[in-house]
Amino acid sequence: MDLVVAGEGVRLYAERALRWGSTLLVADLHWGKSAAFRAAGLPVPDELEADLERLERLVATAEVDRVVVLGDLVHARAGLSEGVLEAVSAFRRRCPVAMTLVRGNHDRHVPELPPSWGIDDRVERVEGPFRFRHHPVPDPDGRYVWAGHVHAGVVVGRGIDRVSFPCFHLGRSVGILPAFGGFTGSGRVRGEPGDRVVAIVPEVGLVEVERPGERRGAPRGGHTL
Amino acid sequence: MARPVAAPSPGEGAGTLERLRGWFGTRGWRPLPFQEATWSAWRDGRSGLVHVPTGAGKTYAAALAPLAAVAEGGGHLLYVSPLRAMSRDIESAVRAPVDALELGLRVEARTGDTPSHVRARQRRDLPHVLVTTPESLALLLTEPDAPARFARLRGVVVDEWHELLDSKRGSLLELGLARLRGFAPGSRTWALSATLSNVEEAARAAVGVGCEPVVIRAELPRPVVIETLLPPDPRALPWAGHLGVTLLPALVRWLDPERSTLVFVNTRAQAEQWYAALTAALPGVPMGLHHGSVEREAREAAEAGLKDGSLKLVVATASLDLGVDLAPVERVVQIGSPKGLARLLQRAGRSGHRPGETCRILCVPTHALQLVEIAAARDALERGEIEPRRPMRAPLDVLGQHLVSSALGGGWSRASMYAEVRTAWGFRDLSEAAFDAALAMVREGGRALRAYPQFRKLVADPDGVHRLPDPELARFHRLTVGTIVGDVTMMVRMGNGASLGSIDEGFIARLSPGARFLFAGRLLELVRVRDLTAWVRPATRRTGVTPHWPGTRLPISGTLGAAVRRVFEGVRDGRADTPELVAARFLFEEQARLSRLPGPDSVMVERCRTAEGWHAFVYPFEGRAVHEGLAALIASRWGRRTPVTFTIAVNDYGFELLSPTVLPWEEVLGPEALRLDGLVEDVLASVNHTELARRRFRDVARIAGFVHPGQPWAPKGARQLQVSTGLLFDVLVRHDPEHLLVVQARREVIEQHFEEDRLARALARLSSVPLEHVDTPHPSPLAFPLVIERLSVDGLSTEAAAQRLQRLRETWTSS
Repeated sequence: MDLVVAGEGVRLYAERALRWGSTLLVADLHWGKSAAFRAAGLPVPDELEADLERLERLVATAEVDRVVVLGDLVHARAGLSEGVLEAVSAFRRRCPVAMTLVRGNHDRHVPELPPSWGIDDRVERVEGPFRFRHHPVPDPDGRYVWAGHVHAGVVVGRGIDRVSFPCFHLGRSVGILPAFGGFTGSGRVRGEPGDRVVAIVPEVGLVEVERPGERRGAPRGGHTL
Repeated sequence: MARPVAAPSPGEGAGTLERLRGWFGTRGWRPLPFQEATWSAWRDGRSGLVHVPTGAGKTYAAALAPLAAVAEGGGHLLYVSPLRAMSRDIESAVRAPVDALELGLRVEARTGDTPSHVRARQRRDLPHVLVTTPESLALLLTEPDAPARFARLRGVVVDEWHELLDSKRGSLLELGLARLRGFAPGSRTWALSATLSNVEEAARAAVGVGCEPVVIRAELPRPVVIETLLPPDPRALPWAGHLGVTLLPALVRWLDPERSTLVFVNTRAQAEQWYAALTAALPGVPMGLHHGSVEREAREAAEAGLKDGSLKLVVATASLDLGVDLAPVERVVQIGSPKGLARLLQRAGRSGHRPGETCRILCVPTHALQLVEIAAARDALERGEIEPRRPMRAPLDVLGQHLVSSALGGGWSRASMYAEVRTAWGFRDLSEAAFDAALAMVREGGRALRAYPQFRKLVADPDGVHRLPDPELARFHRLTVGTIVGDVTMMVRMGNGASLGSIDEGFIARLSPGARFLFAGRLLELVRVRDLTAWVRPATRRTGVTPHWPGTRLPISGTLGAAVRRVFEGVRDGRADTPELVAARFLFEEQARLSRLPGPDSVMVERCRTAEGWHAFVYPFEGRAVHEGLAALIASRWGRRTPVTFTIAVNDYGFELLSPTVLPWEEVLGPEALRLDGLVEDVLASVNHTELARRRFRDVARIAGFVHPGQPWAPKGARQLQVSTGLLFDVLVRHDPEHLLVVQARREVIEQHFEEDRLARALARLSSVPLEHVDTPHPSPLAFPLVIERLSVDGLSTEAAAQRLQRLRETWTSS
């Protein structure tokens, strides 16, 4: 799906990414999250390999030459097991595209990323009309903000019929990407009139939903960050 | 391992029992026949069940013979009660003869409220009689020296077994009892149960496989009088709705502030509304509110107020169905239909406290059709009908928890554990494959984690004994023991920090600061939400919404549903002689004028056309869960032939199919739609069953220990291990669609959400009787509540997710 935001053409992918020029934006990868659970005795299977393959395919199909991660690249220190470190290093050998991390709250658990990952590490970035940051907070200088953090999701239907989907939530001054990681939940967007919400529906793809927050008796949904 | 004890010799305790009889005499009592029968069965070395109304001396029936045996031969007695609030009463009842006769036995209670130093002492030195809850017992079974500690157990008494029987609490207790019998092979099990219809099965579930239970019935007449508050003009009653305060003025006139009265309602929301309404109508009358979300201190204050007479009126939900004796309560009121006979009986039993005394209950209908339900309940009780309570079939999440608990509590080898688990009644048919899958799940994470050999929970030593060596994992496990899983709730606090209770998180999520709502009997204003706490202050303006708590709408029981059908049949044959049915005559006349009354040997289908489309209303009287399944089944089977979108509404009497186009209803509801084969597959194909299973999975995952015990109330720290169980479900399904817990969640959707057995029986009945099609000019009195239901709660639909999204999108765009 192609859109124009702040005068720039962007393309949304159902694989939970956004392309702007030759840059791919993704948010909330949470690498090593399931490993952290296993370390605590909770038997959670791993989504990391699938996530890395999806990212690799996206880099190829979107034909970008760099990836910007809008925070929460890693989940927790306990999750950086040997297996995870090795899986990521192998991914970087296969896919040596330039990568920049805009730090998120989870990234503070790992002050130094392993050098073998070759990932450039920043707090925020300003590029063209955009500001890249983790938290979806408007930019005082009026730049359009691309952010993550909330694991944007939209809930439709009620009662037995209720379903929720990850989504892109494009507000007036902030655009929020869905969480990229396969082992991440989704929260619920609270839209304002005029916001655009694009849901990622399994086996269907991108479907635009209008003004979900406005619906009377809005559906109830869990909220997980 | 367990030291085998010699089976106690039958005569043991005879002398002490004789002294206990004497003690009975000093209190002016004479042992009742069922008490004597229980004592003698115990002394014959038997286990069994005592089937007796509450308040009839069952504690002494069950406890005195083992007490005598412990007094003479040493050892221990466990007394398990589902309610910790009752353990103090039981403790003092058992202690009375112990003190009077100076038997020198320690009688103590152990519940979640017991201080930790007392618990530590009890761990070191088990009291002679320990009064406890199923959850505290499960926790005791995780202690490394559990086998030695319980080796000299004489017996276990399980109180209020009917309350536990059909739940996972019961399943966990069945496994715990099997384990205890393994530790102390000579020990006996006695269950106490109030009225239920499957007494034999309840007894077998209590004593386990391989033991022939004795069933002792106490024939104690306890007359129940059911009265109905009738409005001066019955036509004033609405045709639908369940909160209904129409009869508030009449109830206020009936209430006597001098006489202690308990007002039962069915939902927490209803409790809030009736409490607010009664407080406004009866200023100055000391009143209490009691439901599961009110802060415990407030609940205890309401109970204490009733007991000491300082509160004359308490509005309560099922939270007061059971529990401590509320002797001063003179009158009991039931607002709305009780939905089940056992519940009505239990609530009526909260008045009239001496054995043999008449219990009275006043039913207040909230809509006109409830007049029929009340008449049906009385008729069914007069016929001696009551619901069965069926033990659950081998819940695998409970098994998983028990395997880990037992690995902590002494360890086990595969073969002996499999054999022991199968002696628990609910697990008697557990296949070896299912057991091994559960074992794999708690040992190496199951098939989904085959790729992670470093993951290990249980570890088997060279002799094949499974243990949980990691102390941190052991600590986590102990925090998750039990099967009581609450809703996801949020604390409600006033600005000064005072806690009012907990509230459904989803309800708060819908409110914005400044919104007003009724909670804990007060009108509150939401200030802000932070750290899983809703901060509130008293509201000044007078209107507000009442919170919604999930899962509080009970379906009518099968037994009561059948009784309602019978009443309609009687009315059709001209028998409408009880006060309720006389009052409801206008309704029957209207129903007969527009349509017909449901008859004995057919199922009625009403059809009509309105501006909304073409409706078919079908009335099997099987309860909402079954109707949901039936409607979904019929819609999906027809939808396979002709693409059409049905809108579905269900209630306890029937269901509605609404179509935007004209349909041949005879065919839609024809034999093809009512086939029994493929029932489960077709029901599942018709609804968003993945979503239903995902919701069931929340409890399943927590019981099986798949969720970090810190959450969702986790203080900071455990944050990184928080995950929604829905997400966990999705991940497990992706990696291992046949994961044990995924299978369990799906099974619960079939067996519990759709009540498969009842659904199959209903379907068989529908296909064996003629359907009586009637065209009506507009919805009849029976149909009207269904129309309301559909308008107030979104119905089911047969659309796929994408279509559904499309439709919702249209509604958003047009709003």
